[in-house]
Amino acid sequence: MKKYILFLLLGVGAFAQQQRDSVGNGLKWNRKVRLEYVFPVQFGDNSHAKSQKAIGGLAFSYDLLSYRKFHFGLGIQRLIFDVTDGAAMGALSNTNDTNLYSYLGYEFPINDRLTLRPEIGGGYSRVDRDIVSYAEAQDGYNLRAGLRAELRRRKAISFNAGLFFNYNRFEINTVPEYVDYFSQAQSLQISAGINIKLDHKKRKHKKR
Amino acid sequence: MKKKLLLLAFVAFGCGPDFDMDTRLVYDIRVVDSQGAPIPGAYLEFSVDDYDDGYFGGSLANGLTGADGHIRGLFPPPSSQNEIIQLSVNGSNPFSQNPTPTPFEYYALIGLKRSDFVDYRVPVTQVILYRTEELTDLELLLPQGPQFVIDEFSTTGEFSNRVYTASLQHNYLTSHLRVRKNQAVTLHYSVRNTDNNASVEYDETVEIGDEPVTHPLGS
Repeated sequence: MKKYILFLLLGVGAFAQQQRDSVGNGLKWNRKVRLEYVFPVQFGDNSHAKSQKAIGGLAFSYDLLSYRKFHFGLGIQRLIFDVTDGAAMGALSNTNDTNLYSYLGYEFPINDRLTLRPEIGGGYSRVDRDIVSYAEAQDGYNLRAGLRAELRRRKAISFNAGLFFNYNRFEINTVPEYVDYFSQAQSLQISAGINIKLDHKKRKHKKR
Repeated sequence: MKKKLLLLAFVAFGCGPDFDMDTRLVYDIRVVDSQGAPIPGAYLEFSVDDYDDGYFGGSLANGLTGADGHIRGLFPPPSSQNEIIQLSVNGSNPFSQNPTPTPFEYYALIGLKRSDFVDYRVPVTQVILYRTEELTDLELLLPQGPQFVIDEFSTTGEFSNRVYTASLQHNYLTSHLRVRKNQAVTLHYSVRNTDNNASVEYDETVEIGDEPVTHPLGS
């Protein structure tokens, strides 16, 4: 399943490279990448909030398609947590969450430079031990909704800041009284980063 | 410099046992002395021999007993179903810089496997720690000859270190056991001749008095 998602990501990305100027019925290939630092504020009665402390992580997302003011894309984020409660978590020092998701956003331009963009999305999630691990992961899914603000500084570069609600549901095998504790996580994710529009120069050239 | 890089690599890429992160096993254990009195502050650890070198250095879970001698917690098990798990109490305690000498001997239960955990619970609810003067030695003599292997060795009785169920040909399983004085212990095992794969089962009772006992297996 994970491999299929990765191939899908790479395949769609490569196709977008080739077809970047294709336009049909208002649908456009829209190559914009975004790199962000993400800090999740975990809450609720679950192992992410009560037995671990977030260090933060990185997110990479790729706006693929746009239709009028709607934008569709794919993203991946990797968040690292310090284990603070060994009784609940065992002898783990760190865990990390990987969220792989697709999203749909709608742009509200406030002025020439500032755009607000509400987004919803969801996809596959997994929890691993340590920073990188080849052990069996805890698989699950994520749902996300939030608002991103983008401030354009140059034609191809803009900065962004976001606030998202992220909900995770994971598979778990344990005694019934601990199923909820280990099977869900919820957080408010605060993010900040940079956007780069990859095809900016070439499009400018074509207009001439 | 090389050591620092190696350490950094271990931290970045993870070391120790591979965990099955979608499972959590629960332990709820009371540590008491031979009179049933709770022992607070005892260090308990579940570990695996992650490098198969005879040393149970891969910690799965650890902690100290509370004032009532209880310790409760969860841990993700090793990924392999056949990984041998050891439960030890009163071993070397990384939480304590200057450990206070304890009157109790080290306790170890070797040979737990994932299949021994019923409904995700550790099949041990009480551990008895014995004082040195309450214990003596039981030395097991393995059959002579490299063709003999002890399979499915298990014990009942009051031990300070005992084998839950395991094969004794493994380099990390001891043939030197510490047992409470003045009792009868039972040993169950089979001896397999690897030349012809013939196996003979044994159920034996060994009388333990005040002095150390040597017992030949498969005789």
